[in-house]
Amino acid sequence: MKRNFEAKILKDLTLAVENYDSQAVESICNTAIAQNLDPVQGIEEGLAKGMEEVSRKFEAEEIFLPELIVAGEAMKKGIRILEPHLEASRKERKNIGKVVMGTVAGDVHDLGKQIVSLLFFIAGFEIQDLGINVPAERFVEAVRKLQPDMLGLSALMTTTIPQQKHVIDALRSHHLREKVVVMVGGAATDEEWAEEIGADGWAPNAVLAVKEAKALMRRE
Amino acid sequence: MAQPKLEFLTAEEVESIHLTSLKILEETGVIFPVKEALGVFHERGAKVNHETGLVKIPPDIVEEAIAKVPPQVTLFARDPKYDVPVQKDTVTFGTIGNATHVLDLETGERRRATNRDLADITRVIDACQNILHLEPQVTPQDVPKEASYQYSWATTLKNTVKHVRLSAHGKDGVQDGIKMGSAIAGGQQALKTKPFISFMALIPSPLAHDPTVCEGFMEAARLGFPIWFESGPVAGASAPVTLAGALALNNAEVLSGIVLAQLVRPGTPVIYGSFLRIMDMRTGNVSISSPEFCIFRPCIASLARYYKMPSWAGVMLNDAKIIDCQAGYEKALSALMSALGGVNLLCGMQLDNEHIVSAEDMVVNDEIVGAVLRILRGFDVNKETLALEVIDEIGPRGVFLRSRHTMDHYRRELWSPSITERSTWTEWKAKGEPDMWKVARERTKKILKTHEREPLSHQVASELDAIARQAAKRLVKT
Ligand code: B12
Repeated sequence: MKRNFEAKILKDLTLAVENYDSQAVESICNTAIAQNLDPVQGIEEGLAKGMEEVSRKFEAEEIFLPELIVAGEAMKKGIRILEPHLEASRKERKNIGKVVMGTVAGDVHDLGKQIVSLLFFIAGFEIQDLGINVPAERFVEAVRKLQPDMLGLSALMTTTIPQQKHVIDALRSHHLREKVVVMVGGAATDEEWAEEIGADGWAPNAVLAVKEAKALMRRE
Repeated sequence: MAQPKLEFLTAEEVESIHLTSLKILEETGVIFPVKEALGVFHERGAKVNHETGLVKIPPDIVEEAIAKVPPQVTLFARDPKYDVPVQKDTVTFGTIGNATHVLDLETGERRRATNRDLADITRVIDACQNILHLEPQVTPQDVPKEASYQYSWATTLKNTVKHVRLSAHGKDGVQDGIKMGSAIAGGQQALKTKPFISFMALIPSPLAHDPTVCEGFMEAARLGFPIWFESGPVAGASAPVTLAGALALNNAEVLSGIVLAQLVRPGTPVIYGSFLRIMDMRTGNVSISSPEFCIFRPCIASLARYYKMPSWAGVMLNDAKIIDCQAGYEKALSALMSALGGVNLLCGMQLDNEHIVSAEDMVVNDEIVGAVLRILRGFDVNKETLALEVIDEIGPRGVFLRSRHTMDHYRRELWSPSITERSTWTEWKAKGEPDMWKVARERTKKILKTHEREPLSHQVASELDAIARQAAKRLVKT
């Protein structure tokens, strides 16, 4: 009986994400907690499954970005409700890496970084987004405090891509460079530039950024 | 015949967009992350949150500022032959700046832009008869990056006599630009009387000014230079996806800048503009050449006319990567719609979503603009043009090519293309089957070989270079 009930909750969570329905996600998650459902199961067998289907549809071009993003937000909402209960169940959500993202100092371009962050999140990375116009010191600080596996630096302008180099140099001078994989991106960058400044990875768009990030994580 | 005009919006619809924008400004507010700006708003009685920088501007302040904007402006040129007086029905074309790559003139391959490319592209534009004002088209990638604005300004000013628009890139940047202009004009006063430079102020959407640009345009206003305002909301990403909502947001943002400029110095010449565009929902790229992009342009013109301000908009921009069929249709649609919509100053001419500029593409643009301006001119209906007498004289089975009337009128009535292919298949085959890109490339090489302008004196040129070098010294962190 309990089993059936759990199965139903998981299925409903999956469907709620597939239906882009964050209100449903919220209320089902609350029920799940009230019923002591395993939060890890809720995330992995419920929410993430729905997201998988949504991602499949996105790659098949059955749906476009707005659906993907709204589904991603719904999933985020669910995770935010379930996560605090992870500790109680002494389990951890599998995530494939922790990423700190940000747009460099002097640059307010936000859209590309947001899409990359979201796809990272959907792919199973834990994401900490520092926002836009982020000075090098704040990146260094975040690497020291949060100890991410990867740092993602977005910059879209000729005048601001040197900041990506400053961040990498600053990591070096704080002896933190070896502790973190650095990916750079944004319209003004290219592979050559990434190499020139000593970044570990680069990608031209969000989908390839996820691929590259996964590859980099494996190499680590 | 009056200039044909395309209106998407009724008077009531313009009014409701305006009222929505006023509400946005009054209730949601706009962020001005510059202390001085907050001071100015505070003093005039707007609701200012000094911590967050959020300013809520009541309608009376907005209306008062709108009324102070001069309805006309002249874009002066270093050579007065190219002065552009902007009046109610003016429609002229120019360029926007800051692409990072070029298509190599020899190979057609995409590569990083150099300072030399910028000089060449500028000279080609200088030679194009229908492109009348410009912004440094590319950001050279082989100069100190942090001072790339200053380097690109120096190069552009050295290679054209037409009006040049600079970015309002900070107080220092604006001062650098004015120093360059003054060096050419022979003093700041001379430059100020006939400013052949002006400044572009872009307001990041949604509803938050950029500190550098905000400081920059305040300085330009203080010093009395014309300012082009724009915001570039991306409908569906940084603005509502509904076209009406995107227009209302865009309008609020542009007005917020204009209000500040008028508060800083009442009567500052400003140009009401927009870079409103959409996000392509499949790729997540910003499309700068969609049908919706075309619809926005006449609406922007309607709003500017409503405010009695000169208008400008981004146009002839391509998602297309190279000079192909897609590029052609994108350019033609947006140019024609914007011209018929009555936008005064139409600026653009870049490929690959603003990343690529190519010198030969300017020759293509020049051609398309020629055709568009011809359409815009319409035709006269009078005794002479109705040609009753000629018809009677030539009569049934006659040939009008023989008539004096044809010779007298064809130059005005018919547009003569310059690089458009109109010969027969056989003739085209004999020429080696060139497509338009190839023809434009040959024309461009010829321009680069032959186009001469009176150069700046050696002394003035090196003064411009010195200003750029000093900026690099100031800005490049070691
Ligand atoms: C939209 C836009 C804006 C908007 C930004 C709105 C917002 N909230 O983000 C606004 C209007 C605010 C804006 C402002 C300016 N902009 Co702008 N802008 C653009 C535009 C058209 C699109 C950028 C965008 O959002 N693209 C869509 C996203 C999805 O793509 P993306 O950012 O490239 O991101 C993708 C990849 O690059 C990659 N990626 C991105 N980040 C990262 C990070 C990592 C780690 C990885 C792996 C991958 C990755 O994945 C993303 C998703 O696929 C570009 C031109 C262009 N086509 O790129 C110009 C452009 C970048 N802007 C430019 C300029 C000059 C400016 C201004 C300085 C203009 C001015 N004179 O004031 C200001 C800058 C203010 C500032 N201090 O930053 C120039 C830069 C030129 C140069 N020489 O470097 C460009 C190229 C346009 C041009 N030719 O003039 N801009």
